[in-house]
Amino acid sequence: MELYAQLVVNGITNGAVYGLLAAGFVLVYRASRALNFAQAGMGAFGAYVLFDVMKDSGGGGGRYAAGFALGVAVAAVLGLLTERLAIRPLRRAPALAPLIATVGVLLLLQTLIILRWGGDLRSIPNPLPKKPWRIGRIVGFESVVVNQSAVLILVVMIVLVSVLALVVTRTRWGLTIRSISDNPDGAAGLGVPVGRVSGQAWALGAAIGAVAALLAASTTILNPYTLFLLQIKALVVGVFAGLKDLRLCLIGGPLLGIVESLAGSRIFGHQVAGLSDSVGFFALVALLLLRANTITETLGDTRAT
Amino acid sequence: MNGQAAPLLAVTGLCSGYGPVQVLYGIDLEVSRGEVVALLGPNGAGKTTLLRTIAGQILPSAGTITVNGHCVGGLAPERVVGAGVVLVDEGRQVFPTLTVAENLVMGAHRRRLPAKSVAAECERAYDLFPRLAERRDQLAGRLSGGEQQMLVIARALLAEPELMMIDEASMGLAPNISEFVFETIGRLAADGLTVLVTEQYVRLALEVAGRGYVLKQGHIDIAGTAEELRRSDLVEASYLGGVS
Amino acid sequence: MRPDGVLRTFGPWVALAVALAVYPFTVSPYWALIGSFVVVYSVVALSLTVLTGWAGAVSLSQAAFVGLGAFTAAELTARNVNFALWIPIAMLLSVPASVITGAVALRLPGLYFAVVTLAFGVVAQYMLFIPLENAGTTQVARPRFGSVDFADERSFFLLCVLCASLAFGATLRIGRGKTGRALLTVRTSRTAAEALAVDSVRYRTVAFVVSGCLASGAGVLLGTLIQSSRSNQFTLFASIQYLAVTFIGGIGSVLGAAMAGALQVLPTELIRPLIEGRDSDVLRQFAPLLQATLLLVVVVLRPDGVLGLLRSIGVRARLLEPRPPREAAFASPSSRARRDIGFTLPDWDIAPGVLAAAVGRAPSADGRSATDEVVLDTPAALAATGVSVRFGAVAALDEVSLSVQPGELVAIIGPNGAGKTTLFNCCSGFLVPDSGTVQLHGTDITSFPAHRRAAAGLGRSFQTPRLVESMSVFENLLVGFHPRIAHGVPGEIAGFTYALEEEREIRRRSGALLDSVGLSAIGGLAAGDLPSGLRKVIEVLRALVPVPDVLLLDEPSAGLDPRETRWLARLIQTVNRELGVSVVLIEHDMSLVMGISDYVYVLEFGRMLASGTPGEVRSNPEVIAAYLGKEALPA
Repeated sequence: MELYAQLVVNGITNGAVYGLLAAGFVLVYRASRALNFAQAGMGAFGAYVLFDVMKDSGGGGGRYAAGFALGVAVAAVLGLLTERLAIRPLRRAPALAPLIATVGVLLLLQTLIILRWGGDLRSIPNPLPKKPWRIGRIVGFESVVVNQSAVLILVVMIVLVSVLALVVTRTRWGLTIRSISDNPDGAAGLGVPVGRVSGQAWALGAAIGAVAALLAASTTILNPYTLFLLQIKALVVGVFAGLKDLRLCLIGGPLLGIVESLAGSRIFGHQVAGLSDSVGFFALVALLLLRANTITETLGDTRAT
Repeated sequence: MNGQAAPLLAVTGLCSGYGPVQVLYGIDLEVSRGEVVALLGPNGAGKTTLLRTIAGQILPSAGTITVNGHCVGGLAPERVVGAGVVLVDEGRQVFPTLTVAENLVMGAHRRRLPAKSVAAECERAYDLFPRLAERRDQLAGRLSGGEQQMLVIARALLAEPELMMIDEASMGLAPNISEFVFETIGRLAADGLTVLVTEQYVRLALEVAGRGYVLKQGHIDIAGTAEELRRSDLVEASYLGGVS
Repeated sequence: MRPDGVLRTFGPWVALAVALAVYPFTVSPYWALIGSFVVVYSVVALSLTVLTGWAGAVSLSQAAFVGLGAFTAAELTARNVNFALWIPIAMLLSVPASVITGAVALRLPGLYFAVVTLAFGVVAQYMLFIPLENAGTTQVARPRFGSVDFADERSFFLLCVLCASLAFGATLRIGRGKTGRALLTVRTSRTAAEALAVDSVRYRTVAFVVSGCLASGAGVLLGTLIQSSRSNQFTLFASIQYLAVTFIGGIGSVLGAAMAGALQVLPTELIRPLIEGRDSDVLRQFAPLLQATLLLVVVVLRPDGVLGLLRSIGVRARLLEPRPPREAAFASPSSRARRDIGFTLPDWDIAPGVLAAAVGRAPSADGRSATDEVVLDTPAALAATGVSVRFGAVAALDEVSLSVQPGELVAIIGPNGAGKTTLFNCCSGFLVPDSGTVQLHGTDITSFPAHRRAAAGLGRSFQTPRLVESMSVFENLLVGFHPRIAHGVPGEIAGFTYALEEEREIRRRSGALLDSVGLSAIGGLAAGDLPSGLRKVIEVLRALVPVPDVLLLDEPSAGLDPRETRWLARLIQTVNRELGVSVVLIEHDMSLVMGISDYVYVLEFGRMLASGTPGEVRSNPEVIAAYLGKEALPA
């Protein structure tokens, strides 16, 4: 029983990163109907910038904060540039063109990262709390622990995603984003500078993804590949949220984390190799099968012309 | 009466189309301030293309479009709106997942008003369209066709346009609702709004319009005052293919 | 074929074969190895051409299929299986993977297809490749056949060339035949394809399976080439690179695939001497960096890739396009100005009986259209009964019924938004009505999917023409014959006699049809180059090609000028009278409607307002009111 509790706790904290990444992803999709496959690359780039700032230091708080801000800013700029150069020109192109464009950006960013920093594992000195916390004590599970930094990430996720959801539903900027999401031509017809606003959404989405990436890289290891894997898992959460509802990202992230945690354990008697990494995708497939009808409707299949 | 004043909208020699397909072959058209002008004609004649070209959604291949003397031909839609021309596109293009109130707020977007002023403007819209007031917190996608048409017109009004263009105002609406829509247009015109409206139902349009143009296969077939058009057999022939 | 004809057709191929045969013996073993890489990667690119270029589905996991092939090779090496079986086994293994992934993904819009392939790639990596590698399945041995040791790079190069030739040959065959045309049509418009009896889901699955087989076959060769299989070679990034180079080379074209292979390998080789000894990371990242940059440039500026660029500057080469041998002028499909093709539709002067002869029917002189000999129990050719469709609170159709007698020409008129196209969509199978039935010659087809209704004899054309722009007019017409062709992919590849005969026959018939209506001059032109009026005409012809029992035409005269409208009217009449095809028209052009229809239905606000002969309807005051508003007649 305690084992399960630990697995669940691990899952929730792992899933925090997915939820945050997914939120940025969903925002971008709503603003421009494009799946930003390059989000992980933008976040990774920011993480490496943070690494550069921190690498020879003792991990001091002030320096970390400055490096963090810089990393997030760099990612935001990358998001803005991608929208302006690769997405906006493709507004009238078939839907797959922006997808391929972001895939190209992803490849580009990865190669640039490796060229500049190499593909080895690196760690970022940081002032984040590292001690484990015996939270299980509250309910009598002595050995259930959680890392303080993991709790920090979870808290950050909850706060950021909630704030983002509020921004989207309560502010005028959020209203503009939602109107573009519903009907970009209609919005343009009322004087909305659709391209410019989409660019802002891309910058914000990339920034949010970068927060997740930087926190993950600080608390674990920094290398290009794991961040990309995180991104694909965040994609699953995004689809779970219907590529629409930010609050579902809050739930979906930890949920995926829990499922992975359980799948990677020995609950079936023995460990199934690779299951924890893959289970999310089985869930994705199941989700898509169930939702096949709604998806075709929302994306305007020509059936009812 | 307004013979001397420069027209609000002046279109000359406009040619336009979609890619390699040409739809408009040299349109000349004028709308003066305070007028309601009807654009009539059978399907495929180019009415929607004309409005969309003026609104900036389609790039013209030849000709000029001026609003208050400023050339707007070739500008992006956002800039055309900035010049004071708002298009109410066919098909009741509401923002379906936004509420009625939010739709209206988006209408006022280009004016960049502080929140209180926006709320005041919305109240004015609710006075004109009480049905919308009743439904202000409902999702726009759930409204009936007529209510949605009211919403898009009210929304366009909030942008305080110099010229409002309405495409197929009555499409898909029951006859009594269409009547109401045109009554509303008439009321707004009486208050000074300038309107260019396309419509399939000739009689409806001519009830509120002062002048009209009949488009056929990409050029102006007939032009005249509402009275002249009402009397003319040619309009019926244009639609139903020859006198019986 | 005349001597110089033979030379022109086969010359380039012979020259290529000779060059490839000689190549490995004129260079060092290292460069023979590089050559093998280029050849193998071009097959990978070919697999993407089929899936993404022809079927329009973006795969982000092609590397998983390649890896499947490589790991199969490793596994079979360990089990000492004869090399000749490796590729067939790998292909067989790939089939369930592509079928299952396809079953999930192909029903969903393109974006989600890409996501599902991503999922497949990750699952393959983590649940298959990594465990296999950890378990030690990594070595692949070069085979020997008698005295030929394929450890020798030169012999192996020739082996790769042989396999690649088979792959390219088979793919070209598929591309030029029924499957290729069907795929391109599905890519252009799924609805148009279904209306031509193409089962779009099935064809996309076939494309996916073929693509998977090609990729896994290439994977076997790749694994044997590097003599190992490593999971880090078949990652998402590899998939992206394959996609990138295929795109840059020119997706959708077989020649582009060959170029893609070079693009995958050569950049690294070309700068290798420059970076010798220095940072190996730079060397390894140069290729993907270049590919990523070029991909972005291509996607944003020039989506048809390098080949598109070449085409637009007028480079003529028959290899650039798999088209039938007819003279075709090359022009960029996205020409801005209305291109003058120097052809205007002539006035209709086709003698009676010619059209019927062209499609192989005796003209129904016994008049199927004549209603004097009505057999009382003949079911209506098409009958829609009590059809209702609601979209939310709005009734798009309200208990609408319609029937078309065999050989009749019926028109449906009514204001915009009345529900006419919605009614057609219910009949064709693109929309499921909330209630009501549709019957074709008495058979209830209400539950049939669209392509099955088309195969049963219900043809359809659309308001906006949906022709495949990159195919010629002639090839677009060939798609119309789809339901009449019995052979499938195996027949196409193997070139069985019956398959070749069928293909010859439909080409003959299409040519005859074009000739009979006086349009053979434009047969070889790309459909994308036609002005809109002619496009409309060709689309109607395409729907006519299989001689359906009932033909639904949605606003056939939209976008046509008066002369073209007259021509079309004559075509419709001839088809109706001579071939006995029952026709239902949605029209706004009243002169067309009143001139040729036997019967007219009037729809307004989703309800049937009136019906009768043209004369009756024309003078019906309710109808006049529906168009001109109530009491519109001048005072």
